[in-house]
Amino acid sequence: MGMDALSSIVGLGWSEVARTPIGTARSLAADAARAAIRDAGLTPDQIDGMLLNQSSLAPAGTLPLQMIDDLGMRDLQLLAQIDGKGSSVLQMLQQATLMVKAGMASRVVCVFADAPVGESKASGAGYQNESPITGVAGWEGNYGLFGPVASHALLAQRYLHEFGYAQGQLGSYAIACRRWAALNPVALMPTLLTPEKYLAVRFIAEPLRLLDCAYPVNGAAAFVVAAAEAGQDGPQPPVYVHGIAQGHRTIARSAVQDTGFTGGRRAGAAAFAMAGITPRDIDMCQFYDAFSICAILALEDYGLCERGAGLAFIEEGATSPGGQLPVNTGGGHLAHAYLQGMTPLAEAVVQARRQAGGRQVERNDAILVNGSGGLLEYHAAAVLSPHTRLGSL
Amino acid sequence: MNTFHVRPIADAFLQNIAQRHLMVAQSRATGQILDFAASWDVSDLVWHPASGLARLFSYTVLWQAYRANLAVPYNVAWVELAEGPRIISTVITGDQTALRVGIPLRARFQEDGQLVFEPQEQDSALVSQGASHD
Repeated sequence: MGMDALSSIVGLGWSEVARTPIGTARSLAADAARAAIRDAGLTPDQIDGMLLNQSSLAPAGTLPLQMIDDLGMRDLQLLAQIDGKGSSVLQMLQQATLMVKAGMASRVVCVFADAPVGESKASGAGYQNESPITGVAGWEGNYGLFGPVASHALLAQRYLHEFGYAQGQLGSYAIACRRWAALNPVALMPTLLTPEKYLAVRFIAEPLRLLDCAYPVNGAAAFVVAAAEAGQDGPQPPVYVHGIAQGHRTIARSAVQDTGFTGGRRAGAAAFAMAGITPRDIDMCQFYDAFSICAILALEDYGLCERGAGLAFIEEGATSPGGQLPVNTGGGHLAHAYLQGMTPLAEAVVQARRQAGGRQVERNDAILVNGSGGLLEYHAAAVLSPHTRLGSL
Repeated sequence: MNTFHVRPIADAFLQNIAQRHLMVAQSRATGQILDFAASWDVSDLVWHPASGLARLFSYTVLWQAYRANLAVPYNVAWVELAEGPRIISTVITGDQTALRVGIPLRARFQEDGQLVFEPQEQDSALVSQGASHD
């Protein structure tokens, strides 16, 4: 049975994206917002809502509400910052969708920007926050558990053990991402990777090596959301939102709390139900993959693979170019660029519009996008499509 | 009077640790052992000494020095106590390459008061004396 779309994405825009200082996050955000509005065939005065998402590690007020001045906007009906860590970009899409569907706004621009890479600091230097795994304030610092790499390494090590994988097998994910990035002219890490090259790269936190980690950049991206009925009004092929949901669950702090799944299970199930489809109907996935383990677990949490089968699925090439279920077709956070929730969402829009050039996936009817944050604790998921109706394909 | 505190278990856990006691909290009403992040009615809590027995739920060896005073490589352990709660700690071992998920561990306090774990196969006399050998 088909269902009508909930909303449409009618514009997509980028700022410059680089590994060098190119301006403040705020100026990059304004560049991306203008580009997205222009892409939608609109001018800023036709926008009546704006949602802002800054990195949760950036100083408060990095993207202030005063950005309405930067863009020359007036008389907005919606203006807010959204902070749900890695789920924020899809939370912006969800809120914008609800607003346009209810007629409370007509065109909402949603913006993410970050500028973590400075002249003289290592790109990873901004990522040293404590991971509250035990749930006792300050506890992890006693043991030198700093930064998201180490906490995700704990998830990865557990996964490899539980399902009998060797440490080096993790590399198949980074290798697949480079194969996609090689087809993406704007990917920042487009050279192909071999298992030997992967294994020669240093560990950050075992079993995660440098190339299992996101590639930090300075940059911004933005998109414009309108009612589903207004999707055809602009110059670009519309991308329809069919399902969008959140799912949050803290890390299991005892054996009895451990279901083996993250909040992604709930987010995915709800988004699929809303879209009237099942995971079997998904043609490709765009995951928030700040670390290789994130995409592996997402395949399982979102029901694309059985528990424990995600890494084998990647290893056999199923998610690579030409595979049965393409994943992170622009190269993702590892090989395209780490623009947090915007990297997967933007690639989904490009693929739905059939504007992906040499990496275009032929079957693009139902695209799963996710965002996740914390230690895979905060999730949001969306089902996008070039079609107004899904389920009767 | 409101008997709910935001983090009564975490606070008491830290007080116990400062006294060099690893204790676990139990609900009187349900009998369940609670994790250390739980928000709970303090009047329903009873504390017990933990057995000190545990398993290595997961671990990582860090090669990136996130703080200047931390000499790499060092391990961070995600330990599951026999009673159920999981906590972050470290495994004291002469051979970090011998760490494996699932190995049995035993808790002890170092001279500086830090709670650590060591593989159960190691000299149990050291455990009972609470001596440090790192």
